[in-house]
Amino acid sequence: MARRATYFKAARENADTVIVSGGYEFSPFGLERDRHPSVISMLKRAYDLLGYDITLRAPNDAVAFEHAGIEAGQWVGPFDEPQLVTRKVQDGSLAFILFPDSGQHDPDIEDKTAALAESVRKDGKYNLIIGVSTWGANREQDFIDRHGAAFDIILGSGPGPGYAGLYLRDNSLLWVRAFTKGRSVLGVTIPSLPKPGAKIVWEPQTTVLTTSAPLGGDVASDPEINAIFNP
Amino acid sequence: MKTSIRATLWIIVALGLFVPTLAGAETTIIFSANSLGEFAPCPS
Repeated sequence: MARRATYFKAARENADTVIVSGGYEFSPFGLERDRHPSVISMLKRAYDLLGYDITLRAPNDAVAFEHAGIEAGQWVGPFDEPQLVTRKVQDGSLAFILFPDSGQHDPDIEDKTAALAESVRKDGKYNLIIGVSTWGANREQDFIDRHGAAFDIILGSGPGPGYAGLYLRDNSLLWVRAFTKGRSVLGVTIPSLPKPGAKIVWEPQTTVLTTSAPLGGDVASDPEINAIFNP
Repeated sequence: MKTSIRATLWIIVALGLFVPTLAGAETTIIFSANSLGEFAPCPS
């Protein structure tokens, strides 16, 4: 995590960087009640210092917080309804839709999530519509099959494989999924944003570039983060 | 003559300042998740 801090600081030098945490950052799957409160506390202190712009907790993250008796702060979710969060960048505005998550497949809530994305598109205020999901790969794939065209990008987390970038629905949707155990940080760079309200068809390596940064030994560890875990 | 040179220099400086803005900027979204609470020996 100390290397991640260094990477984020460097990325911040580009004013048009939005950094998103998409869930399952605090506990292994199914072990959220087994973590010592001091571990969750240390993790939260470190994550808070990383300076995320958007932070969404998965259901198991919320249980880990509750079990440890720690206030959520900026670590929001999981929600019962889809949430719209917007961020301005130099070239326009981005709409992030935080997927609700009851921990189970829920067609009604999935329909609502797609309906919100379609409504936001019709508003014509946002250059991109980006979903942030904690549903796991199977539910995300099912959602994409039925509703994927409503979004331009879906950032996925939870059980399932990691993808630096999969282009689906005739390249109208970019699906990015996090790898497990913090092994890398994923990046999506758009050289020029589409017009607000327009639906883009991605041209890989031209209109969008995806990266997976492994953050190995060539990235320096941030001393402030290191000190949290090595007092 | 001096005024003309100074005006030309100011135009060059102004163009230099405005060209990057007109060209637009990249937008980057960085995404992390699924760290599963790993921090040591988590490589990132």
